[in-house]
Amino acid sequence: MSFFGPPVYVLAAALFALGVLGFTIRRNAIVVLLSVELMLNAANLTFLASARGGVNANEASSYAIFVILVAAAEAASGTGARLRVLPPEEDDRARRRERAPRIAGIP
Amino acid sequence: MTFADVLGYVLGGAAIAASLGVVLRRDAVVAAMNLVLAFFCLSGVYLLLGFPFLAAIQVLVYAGAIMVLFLFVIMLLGVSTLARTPLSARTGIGAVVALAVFVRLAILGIELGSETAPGAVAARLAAQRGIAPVRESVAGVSQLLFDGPLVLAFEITGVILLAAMVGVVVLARRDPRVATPGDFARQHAFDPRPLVGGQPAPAIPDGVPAETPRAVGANEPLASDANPKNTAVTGGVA
Repeated sequence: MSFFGPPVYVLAAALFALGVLGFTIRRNAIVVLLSVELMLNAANLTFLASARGGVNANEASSYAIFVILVAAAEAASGTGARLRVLPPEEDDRARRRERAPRIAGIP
Repeated sequence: MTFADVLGYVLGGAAIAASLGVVLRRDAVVAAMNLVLAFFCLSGVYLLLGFPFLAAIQVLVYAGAIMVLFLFVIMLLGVSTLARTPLSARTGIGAVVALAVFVRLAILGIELGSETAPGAVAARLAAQRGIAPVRESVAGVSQLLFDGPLVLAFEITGVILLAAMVGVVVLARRDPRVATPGDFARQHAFDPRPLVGGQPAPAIPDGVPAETPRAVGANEPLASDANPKNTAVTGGVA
């Protein structure tokens, strides 16, 4: 059976389902973001597979590039948000630091 | 079954194996490297599908830039704090949901793939209108993106990226007035010593590992801190 018929769509479905699995069962925020990337890639693969041999392959490429750009923005903002969230004991420390009065002479 | 088909099956299987590694390996770094492998395999599939430019973009932007960003953040947060996070309690639910999603999407995909060979409809339309299918080329893509109907969309994507960048700068910015633990101990040799309780902190003798000092204003005992040594210095708070 040719790979470029149903199998390529099944591959995309498997990748998307694995992304859903990772998004659901992982607790690590970074790995959750990695799973989202996996899902976006599966969508891209479906898109390109169905555009294969079409009227204008350049259009398919352009839209896939848009998906990649959105994925880049999502990766940047997601990791930035993760940097903001501190682990519990660090959070405790930081909150105390904000509340406590400052020592004179130290900015 | 041609050579391209065999290559496609091999790359697809490798992509699925690598994705399993992303989802199931506990170590965040290993998961990220598995995702890089999956991206490379997908890049090969794109090449087989006839999209060489997108294959290059996949490697450069995804496997290069985005994954470097992820690895950078993993290293910044510390591998040890992230390494062994357990799977959540929703593992069973997640497996069921993922299986359902896979079955539904696979049925859809098999229908789509067998009813019409990929691109068959578009190729028939092109034949009716008497146009030859256009292959992917860098010139064609850039024509569409920079001098075609997609210019506005492309500019909007630029604004989205700019907004994401500004947002990350705002999110990740630290309050510069607050010293973090460890700031002073690493700089004793070059900086004026910090004031602890209004007095200069004692110098650290050579060969003695520096104890991480408490941050400014954090001299009171913490609820999570059972070490009584740090509670001794409390005076001199303005």
